[in-house]
Amino acid sequence: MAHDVFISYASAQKALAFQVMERFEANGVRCWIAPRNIPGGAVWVDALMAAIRSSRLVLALLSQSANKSELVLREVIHAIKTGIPIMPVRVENVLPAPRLEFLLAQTHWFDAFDRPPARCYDELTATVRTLLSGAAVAGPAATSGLLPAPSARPSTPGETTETVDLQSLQVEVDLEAEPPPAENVGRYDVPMNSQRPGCFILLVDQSGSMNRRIAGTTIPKRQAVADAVNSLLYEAVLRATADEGVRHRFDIGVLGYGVGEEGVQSPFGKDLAPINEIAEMAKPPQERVVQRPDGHGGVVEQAIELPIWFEPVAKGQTMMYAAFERALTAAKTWTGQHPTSFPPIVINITDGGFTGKDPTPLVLEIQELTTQVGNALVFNCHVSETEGAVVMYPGPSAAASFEKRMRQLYEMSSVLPELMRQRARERGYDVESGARGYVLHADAARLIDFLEIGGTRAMDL
Amino acid sequence: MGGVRADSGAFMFCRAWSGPKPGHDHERNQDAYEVRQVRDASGGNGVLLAISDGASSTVHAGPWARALVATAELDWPSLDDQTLTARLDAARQRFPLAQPDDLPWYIAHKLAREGSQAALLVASFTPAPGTDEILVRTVAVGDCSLVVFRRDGSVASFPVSASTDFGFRPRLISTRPQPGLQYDRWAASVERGDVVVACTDAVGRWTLEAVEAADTKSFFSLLLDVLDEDRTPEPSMRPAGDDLFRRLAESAGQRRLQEDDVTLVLCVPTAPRSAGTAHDLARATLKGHLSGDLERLFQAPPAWRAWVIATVERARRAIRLG
Repeated sequence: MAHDVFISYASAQKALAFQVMERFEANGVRCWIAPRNIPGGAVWVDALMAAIRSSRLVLALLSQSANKSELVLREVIHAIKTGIPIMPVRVENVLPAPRLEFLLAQTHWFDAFDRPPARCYDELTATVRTLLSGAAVAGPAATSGLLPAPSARPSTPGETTETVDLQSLQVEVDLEAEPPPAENVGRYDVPMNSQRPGCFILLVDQSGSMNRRIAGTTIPKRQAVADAVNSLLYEAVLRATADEGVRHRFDIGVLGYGVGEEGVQSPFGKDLAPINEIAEMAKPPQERVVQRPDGHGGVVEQAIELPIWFEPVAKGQTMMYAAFERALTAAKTWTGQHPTSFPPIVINITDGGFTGKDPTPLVLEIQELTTQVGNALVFNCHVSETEGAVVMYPGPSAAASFEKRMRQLYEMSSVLPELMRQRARERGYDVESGARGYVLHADAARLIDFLEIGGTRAMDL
Repeated sequence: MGGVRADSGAFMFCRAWSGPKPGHDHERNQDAYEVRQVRDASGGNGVLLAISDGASSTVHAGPWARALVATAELDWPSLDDQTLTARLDAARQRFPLAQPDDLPWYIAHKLAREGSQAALLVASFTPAPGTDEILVRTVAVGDCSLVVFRRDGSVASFPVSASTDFGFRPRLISTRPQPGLQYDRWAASVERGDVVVACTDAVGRWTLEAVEAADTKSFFSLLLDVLDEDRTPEPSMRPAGDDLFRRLAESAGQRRLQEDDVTLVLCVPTAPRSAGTAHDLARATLKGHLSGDLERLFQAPPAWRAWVIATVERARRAIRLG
């Protein structure tokens, strides 16, 4: 075992998590922390889960952001499933979200917000060292800082005197018998309008491999993807059009990656543009034939006059990291400006693995951006020349058999909110519980369908 | 937007108010209504009520809603589907579509794809032969609603029967042909003491929420206030004051009024009219619903009071004629 403690945190607490890690390691406690300990080339989430399994203790830093973090929840669940002791550490004076409270109500918590940080660090380090040495620590806070979960605390502080050891921090929750915690934070039920616009960021792979044919047609992937992107923009413009012109109902970004000096470029000259401006940027319509599923397992072809914004270009490398970096910056700024809007939806369209750095940490950071309506959503569409192998909206059971690159994209995809799951079912897809916004080996028709369910249909709330 | 074109008939008092959503001027109100007295095929009196809600998700929806209520006829609720569709087709053909070349590309594309769309409810009120009852026949597409508050305290509504049934995607009448369009129909009778309200969706939802919460007092109280302030003589065009939305929202209390254009048409049966003006009777009926004491309405007034009312009425007529 190469480490003792796995530190679980939301990206908003990254700096704090690293301070805790440094203090621990200075005192001989070996830590595992992302992204420092992620091995090169590993599937990010798989590496996290493996690290939890080989830990002696999981330290979960709980905060407002952690309450909304899909990843912190998954890490806590994985620790419970694999029998690894958990010490929740409240770094902000907030109550745990119901799903975390449900999971952690039986264990002891460390409160690290009510006294000077240096004292907190010292007490936390001492407590963890004692536990790892196999000894027990006595409650309450005066000696160890460990308290019952907030919901289980006695009304008079200091009444608890029970001792706590590493084994007693092992959480026993029957995840099969008890109702599972919610999969997505948020309601995702707020319509997008000019008072509360929506935000869509499309990341489009324009690497050389996109010159190959897409399944179901004879056209290259770059053309099918450009048609799908232009269709989405067209639908967005028409949905925003009213008597007075195009209303500012959406901000949309299209970031093509693999081209340009920086490896990422936008047809709008900026990373996010209001739909009313996008409408005015349209180039003259071209007659395009697009494929759509017919709802009965087949495909229908539809000829449409499609205005053009995004050109079918494919050359260079798959600079997915750079694209997600730009998306994160844009989404973060936008979320700060629109706290009551439907959260950003980021849709990545690619035909495979990325070049260079793994974008997973950026994706996790995007997924932790929140508005009052819910967390930002990231969906991935894998377009392919492989015929008949499409997997729409896989859940954990389907994903178990995915090879590494496909699993990476699966792990980078958000769980579908109920609303979208329902719409996917209406389109005839079999959507299991925990299904993600991911399609593997998409042909031209499924690409269009995927963008409609995750994109244009969300515009119609 | 709309009007009450003629005295609503000896048997029915009608008033209508319509206003845009907050921050919009009356030109952008996409609701429309029409109330007019007409002769039916047998030469008898009838009152036509048409109310329409232009879908703001489509373009030129307000003009289409106004075209629909202006075209509606007293016999529409009694027509079979095929004949009604033919009437609507005629309305579509008369609707002046803008030339695509004059429009920005997105409006031209949107019109070509979806047309203009609106919900519509048409109701005909005709006296039932040999009784004091009034027959109400309605036909509707979408969620403009007719709510009947009966003198016995019961409430019936059409075509939406519960506040939760107001959805984001009601059926709509488009300027584009719709061969399979389905119509909802309903017929009932009303009598003195009943109150009929026709409204577009935001008011409809708000009204049914009040009914479901057994809190119709705020609703009748608002109707009385608005009626008291409406000094315009019949017949008249009567757009509501700019603050209709605000007043509805305030009287909703805890209930939320959806931000939308709002239209409310009040119809109160006035036959047999024992004494007083139609306005007085409508007011008394609303007050009766507000207090829960409708029986007083049907008690004969003392002889001296009847004489005073008749004298005042004669004087009013004389002044008008003069």
